[in-house]
Amino acid sequence: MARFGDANIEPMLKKFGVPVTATYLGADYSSSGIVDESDEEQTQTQFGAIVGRVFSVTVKTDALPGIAEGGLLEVDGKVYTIVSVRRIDDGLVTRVLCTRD
Amino acid sequence: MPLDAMENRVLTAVLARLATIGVSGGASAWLTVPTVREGTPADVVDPLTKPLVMLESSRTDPDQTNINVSEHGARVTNSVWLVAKDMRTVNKLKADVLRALFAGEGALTVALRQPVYPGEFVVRSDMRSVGRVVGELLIFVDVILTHTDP
Repeated sequence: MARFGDANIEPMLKKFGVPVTATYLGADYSSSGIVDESDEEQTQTQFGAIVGRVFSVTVKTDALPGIAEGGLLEVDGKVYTIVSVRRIDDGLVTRVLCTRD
Repeated sequence: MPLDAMENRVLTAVLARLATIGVSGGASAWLTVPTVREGTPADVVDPLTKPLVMLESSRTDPDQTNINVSEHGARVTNSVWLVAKDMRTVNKLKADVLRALFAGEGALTVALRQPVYPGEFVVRSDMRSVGRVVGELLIFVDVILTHTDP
């Protein structure tokens, strides 16, 4: 069953995406992902806020089998540690939060 | 020239003790080797190459049981913010902060007339989305505010 926006995902990834690769059971899986990176106030303190860097990659759901918290993800040539993997909107795309450690 | 504000004297004395973490006696004498600083940085804390310990003034409350015409009791509370990549390291940071304060009890008591005591410690999930864990440890000292140097 086609879902709203289904036809737009591939063109969107093709236009804005960067190469994303994950390794699962010894095999490499590659796809395209859209990167978002922003510095956001995470914890309010008396003096201001502790600011963290939120880095996410939006990929087509199930394009990268086996991705999970603690795994590694290569995004545009750089390796990141996965913080969380969550489907968003209608579930056709998945937002992968990462940290550069 | 009067003495600095009592809250600043507490910051100075405590910060000097926190600066010994990971340094005094060598790194092996501690659980962590953090970056220690006063206040929260305005900039992003990434990349977090070392755990982070930040000291801030939090509040000063009057001590109603210790008031007379020339002196006033008060409790000065500071927040110690702890940031690391995982919960266990935050717990270790908290232990090292207490270790530093306890080891410096003599010097703190000379500087502030009272030891610094540990208060509530809370681990928070606010930074989970960026793969960080943050903890807040309250510490307090009961001080005497004189009329000349409050």
